[in-house]
Amino acid sequence: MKKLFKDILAIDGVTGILLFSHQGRVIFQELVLPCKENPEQRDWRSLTTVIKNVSEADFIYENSRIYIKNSAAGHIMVLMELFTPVAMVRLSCDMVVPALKKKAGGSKGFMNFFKWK
Amino acid sequence: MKKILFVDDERQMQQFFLEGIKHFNIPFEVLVADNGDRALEIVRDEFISVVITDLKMSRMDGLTLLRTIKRDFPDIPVIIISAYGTDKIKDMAMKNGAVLFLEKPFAIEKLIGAINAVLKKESDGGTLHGITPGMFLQLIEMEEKTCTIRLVNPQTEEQGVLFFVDGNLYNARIAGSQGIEAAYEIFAWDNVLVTIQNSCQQKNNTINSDLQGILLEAMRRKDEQEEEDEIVWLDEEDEAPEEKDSQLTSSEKAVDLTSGEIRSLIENKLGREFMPEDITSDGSWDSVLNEMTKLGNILGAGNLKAGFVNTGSPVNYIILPGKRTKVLAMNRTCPCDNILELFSH
Repeated sequence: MKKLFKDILAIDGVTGILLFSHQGRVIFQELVLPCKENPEQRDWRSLTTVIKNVSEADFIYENSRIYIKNSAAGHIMVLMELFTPVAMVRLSCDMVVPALKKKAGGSKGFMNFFKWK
Repeated sequence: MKKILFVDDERQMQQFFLEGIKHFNIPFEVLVADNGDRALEIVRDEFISVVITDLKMSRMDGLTLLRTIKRDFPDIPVIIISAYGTDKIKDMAMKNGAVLFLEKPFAIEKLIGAINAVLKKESDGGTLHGITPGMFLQLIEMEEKTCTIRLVNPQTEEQGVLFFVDGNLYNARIAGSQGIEAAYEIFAWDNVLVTIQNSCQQKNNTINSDLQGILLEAMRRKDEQEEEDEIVWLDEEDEAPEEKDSQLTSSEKAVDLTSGEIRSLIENKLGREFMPEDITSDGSWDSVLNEMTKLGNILGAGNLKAGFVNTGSPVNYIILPGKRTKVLAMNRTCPCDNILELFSH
């Protein structure tokens, strides 16, 4: 899974990637900077429920930016610095989505039960 | 509900029509006038869809009423009913713009059939639901269409009509008002029901202004009205403060911009091509903002400033947190990154 996201992680300013399943579990996580709480240990169902119809989103915070892309496997969330070229992130995510679809299709639902490595 | 005006000085005829129409269970509201003078007052104050008038009446006869209606309200169809149906009178009525001449006595079915046929013509170009007038009317302008557009505001049930000749707005009318003021009113409506008639009876241009300018002025007036409403709303809130959701900490810290301020900021910093199609105060996005605030807290991202959302619908959304969440509906062709960055600073 890390291999799949390596191009996104290599973009200057990207500080992390999270892949949330549609059921609200973190199925992949790579965070460069430490965070207050480990996202994996939370149930994110309320988040994935409210964004279930969102195909793409971009949220700007005081210190960071979170880009969201929906895929067959779940929602990809890219955490980045404010100066990060978001067009590049968007493009890289677009390229990852078909691979995730293949992976999700191939796993026949098993991705809902196992954490991807 | 469509309104029909029945003009006749004979009480019996009025009764005959009112009773007759009841049997057909047709959703018309019938207004009655005894003479042409009174009929004109009603036509000016109400939004009338069809006028049925007798010819011989004491105060303003039917023919004068017909001429006046065709001059001032050319879209309103007029049906003449008369016991004096000589060829000459019929010819005069039709030349003056009547859609039908019915000789008394007549079967009520015939009149109902004529009303239905007349009203059917109003939508010969199609009917559209849930339209925001702005973009749709710009299409009419671009395609240089000649048509009569009737609109119903579902929130207030108000009705309006717009007259386009070769894509130019010639006139607008709502109950009690005509011309540019009526256009400002209509252009500020949301999610309207639109019927298109592929012809236009309006011959002279009473507006003489470009559509874009009218749309912008209408939006400005709408924003002003919303701001006034917002002030009232906030005053009410001060009187009875509600407990706020603890998740909305970032929103509370955000500065609320009014719709007018948002529009002028976009116009000054980015230009008119970045102007949103609509700006609303919409709490339905608060749950998304709450969840993204939670995630941002955990990841140490700081306060949420602004968001962009694409749901695959015909418009994209820019969401601005605040005491009342502001949502900007953006045309999909408009690059939203610049707007998002503008509002995050």
